Amino acid sequence: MTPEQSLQIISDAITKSRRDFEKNSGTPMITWGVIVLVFSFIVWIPLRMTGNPLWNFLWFAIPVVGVIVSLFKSKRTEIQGARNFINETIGQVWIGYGIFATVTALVLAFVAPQHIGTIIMSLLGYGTFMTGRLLKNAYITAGGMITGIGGTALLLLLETYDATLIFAGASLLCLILPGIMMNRKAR
Amino acid sequence: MFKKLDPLLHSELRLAVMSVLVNLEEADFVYLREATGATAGNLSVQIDKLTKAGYITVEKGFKGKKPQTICRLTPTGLKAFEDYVEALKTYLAK
Repeated sequence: MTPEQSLQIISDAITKSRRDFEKNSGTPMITWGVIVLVFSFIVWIPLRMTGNPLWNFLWFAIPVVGVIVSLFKSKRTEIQGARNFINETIGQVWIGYGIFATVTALVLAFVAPQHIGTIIMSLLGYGTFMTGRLLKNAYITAGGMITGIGGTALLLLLETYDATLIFAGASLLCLILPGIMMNRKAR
Repeated sequence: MFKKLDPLLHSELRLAVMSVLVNLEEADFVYLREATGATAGNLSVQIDKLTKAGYITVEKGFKGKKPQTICRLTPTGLKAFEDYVEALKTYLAK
């Protein structure tokens, strides 16, 4: 075996495993993004029509629907038999987001419901920022910062039911578009 | 001056296995077989050699009802791989 052949073997193996992990890597983000986008409208429409804040409890269906859809989709998109540090870490960042967002919302719903949106938005921005940093993707990193800082500021400024739609914009900016970008890059 | 290439790594399949594992936290036997295109028998023999050298660890278990063999690179294996790449550079620089 010549040194050139050795180098080729190393290069091929690294390229192949990187491609395996890049393929469909954006699908979980697209899935969660679409769910958040749809629920933004599901919550906003009755809120706008009735003015009853109890409709906000519909947000709590997101983790339930998201987990069910993710489990169903992961069988088709997950790499079988191998784990890579970056993908594992990104997965843990978003599991952490899910836990903190749900628990925070559950607690604040009975104590200070007016603060739920800002905290969830801030956490969403942080999760996206971390994903962008781990993937070394400037667009995702910037999307996280814009959402975390800009989205939170907007929620504080717009104290109307229409503020719910900021979550629709954030899901598009933080989850759906980066997910589509990641899948397109892998092709 | 050419550096000596580690004979354990200077083999097509063993080098491919190590190159896959360098990039991953862990990989199972099926993934490694598909990634390297090797036969199960040959891969098994080479994994055994890398394990005996302390370059990788092998953990046997079950995934559901199916048996699963998970391979991971050890710090010794990573150092050997890095040294191998450094040695390769001395050949390619000429």
